[in-house]
Amino acid sequence: MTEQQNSFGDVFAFWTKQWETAASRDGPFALAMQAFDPRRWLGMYGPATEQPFEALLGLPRFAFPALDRKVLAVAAGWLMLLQRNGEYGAKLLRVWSEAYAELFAELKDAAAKGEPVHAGRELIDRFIAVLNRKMQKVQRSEEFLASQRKLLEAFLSSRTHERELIELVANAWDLPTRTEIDDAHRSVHELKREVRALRRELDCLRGETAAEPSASMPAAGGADDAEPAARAAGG
Amino acid sequence: MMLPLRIDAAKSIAELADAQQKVAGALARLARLRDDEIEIGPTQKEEVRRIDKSTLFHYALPDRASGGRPVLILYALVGRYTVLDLEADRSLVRRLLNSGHDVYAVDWGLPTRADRFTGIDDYVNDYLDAYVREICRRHGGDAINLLGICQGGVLSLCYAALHSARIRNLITAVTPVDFHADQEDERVDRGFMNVWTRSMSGADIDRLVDVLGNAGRIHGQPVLAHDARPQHDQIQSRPDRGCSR
Repeated sequence: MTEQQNSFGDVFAFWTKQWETAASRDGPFALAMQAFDPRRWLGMYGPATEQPFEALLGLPRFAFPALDRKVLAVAAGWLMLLQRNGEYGAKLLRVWSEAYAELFAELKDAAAKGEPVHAGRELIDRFIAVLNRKMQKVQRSEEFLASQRKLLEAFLSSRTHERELIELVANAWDLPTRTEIDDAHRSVHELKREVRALRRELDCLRGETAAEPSASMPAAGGADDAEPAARAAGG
Repeated sequence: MMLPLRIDAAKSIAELADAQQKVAGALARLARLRDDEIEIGPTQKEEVRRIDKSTLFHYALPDRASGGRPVLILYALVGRYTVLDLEADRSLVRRLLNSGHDVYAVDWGLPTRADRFTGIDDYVNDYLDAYVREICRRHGGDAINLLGICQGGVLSLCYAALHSARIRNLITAVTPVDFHADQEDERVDRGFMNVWTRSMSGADIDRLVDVLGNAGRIHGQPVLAHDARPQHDQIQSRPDRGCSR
């Protein structure tokens, strides 16, 4: 199985390298890789997008190489995710194989004692018991945990590269990005906290308990922290 | 030597037919069932207060006057509080009401990515504290009984540690507290969540939250809702915020 895993990893490493260096190569392989080049897909929007904007103006290319790098990073991220997913799957597959082997050994022992399996349900129950036993042990092993970590890391890297590419394009069209929306959410969250803290202080200053209805409070943020009656009344 | 498998074909076919019959029966029942026939959380309740997406509910039985000892039930951020009141005869809420308690429960709502910055400090020191005070105000007392279930138990423990004067009795159920107990007493039949989470570094978890906002989604709903980063250093030990006078 280790040999199989190495072969699997080698194949993906080869493809990742090929993909990353494809842009600088000539010949039929580079031609084939162009079919996966998003700049070709952008051709549907008109001839201007088929060339770097800077080239039309006779300026040096700055922006598009950045796009190239982002696209390649996304592609490399996908390949890495596939590789890690394959490695993770191979580890689980090995557990299944070992469970089958253990099941057959158990069945053989049972038969030797004159207790063969007589029904399909019993066979399934025995297999599930063996598989559970193996899984419970393996899924706590450092080898499995390391594979799980690598899979998670590859997934997060892939998503990060995707977002960076999308945000690069979004910025070019003045569209809001996830990062900007997250910043806005953070600001709203911090403002709400401040409003709640100020309300508590105000309650104390008024000699009320902090939990008293906020219907008499100023309108700011009223919909977020108010008794139903206050909100129904438009507070 | 005896063969390990001596499958009785007739018995196996009968087992298969039985299983298929059960599946068919279940599907037929589901097909007859309409959405408006599904009633979860049937016990009457009123909304007492709402903060952001969380809501404090007060339960009542029509044939029983309220005013008993107040109990606030706190469920997890994962899952729904309605599990406390599934059906009329399968209801923790109803059992507490029938035993003379005045029952409150918090619905944390369904968080979206917009709630990613809401932390344990907000839940414990803002939302929960405001709800406990609200119940105290309604009942004219200084302390309530707090029943925390699952992750709600963790929040309850945090609250009780910070605001002990507000808690008369603390009850926790199925509450995970010690995530390292397996290191001294390992049993493979226990859950994996602590082992899997422990294998990630703090940086891994930070990145998970940065990328996903809420950690994990099933059918569009967060599984591990809210900011999942370890927040033990983010829960502020605030003094009891009641007015001192």
